[in-house]
Amino acid sequence: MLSGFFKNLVFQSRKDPSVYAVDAKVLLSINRLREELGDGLISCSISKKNSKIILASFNFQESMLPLFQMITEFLEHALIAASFPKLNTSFKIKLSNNSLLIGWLPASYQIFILVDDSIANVGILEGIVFPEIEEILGAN
Amino acid sequence: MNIKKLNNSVEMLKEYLGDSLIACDIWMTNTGQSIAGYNTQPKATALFEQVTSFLKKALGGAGFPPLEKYYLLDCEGDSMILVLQFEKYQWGMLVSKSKVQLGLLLNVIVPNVTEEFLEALKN
Repeated sequence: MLSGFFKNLVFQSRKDPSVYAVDAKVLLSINRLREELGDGLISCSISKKNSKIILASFNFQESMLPLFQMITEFLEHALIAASFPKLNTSFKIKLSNNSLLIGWLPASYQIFILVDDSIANVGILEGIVFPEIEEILGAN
Repeated sequence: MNIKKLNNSVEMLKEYLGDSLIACDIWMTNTGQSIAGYNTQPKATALFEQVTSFLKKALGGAGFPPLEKYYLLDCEGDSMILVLQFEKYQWGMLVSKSKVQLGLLLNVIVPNVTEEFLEALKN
């Protein structure tokens, strides 16, 4: 019973109310992103594919999730409709003000990351941090 | 528009990417009319004109910073789609992931071919 309580415990840092996580696994993933990206991380969220429930987030407005999901679904459907190869595990959209939106879809998760790419090292993010997070989430 | 420089920008891309370039197309935003390319696929041009329009509306409608410079889709298999954004044009390219480094593509090749393309627009 006690383990069930902890499983559903919501972590919210007292020091930093911008961080939210439903369990230690996703909290660890968010913290890994924060650690590596530093000030380059604008916001991020982790949820399951097609779910409206945010499992973990940093500086993330709930209303952004439906928008990012809509973009993901549109890209997936557009490629299929045009008989193109299907969307694999990521897309990137370069926005103004050095912002880069990364949609990352490892296994059953969908992770949206908004970075300032004049500060963040996207190569390290994709080459080193993503595999680590896949391992943490059991998504590899 | 300087057609020679326009075609040269496509030739430069072909030279830089070699056989990692599967296809590319430069088209006019809003009309989807192709002006230059390599192995062009009208169906793909129409699709990405739609995708760009959708992204602009979706991001703009949510008060997000506007789409700028590019979007990039990692596709299953060995392909990757990069769509560069210009004021009145877009340049889409289908590239083999295993044959080109993304860093080289975004930081060296794209700036070089873009410079030639922008020169073509000036004349």
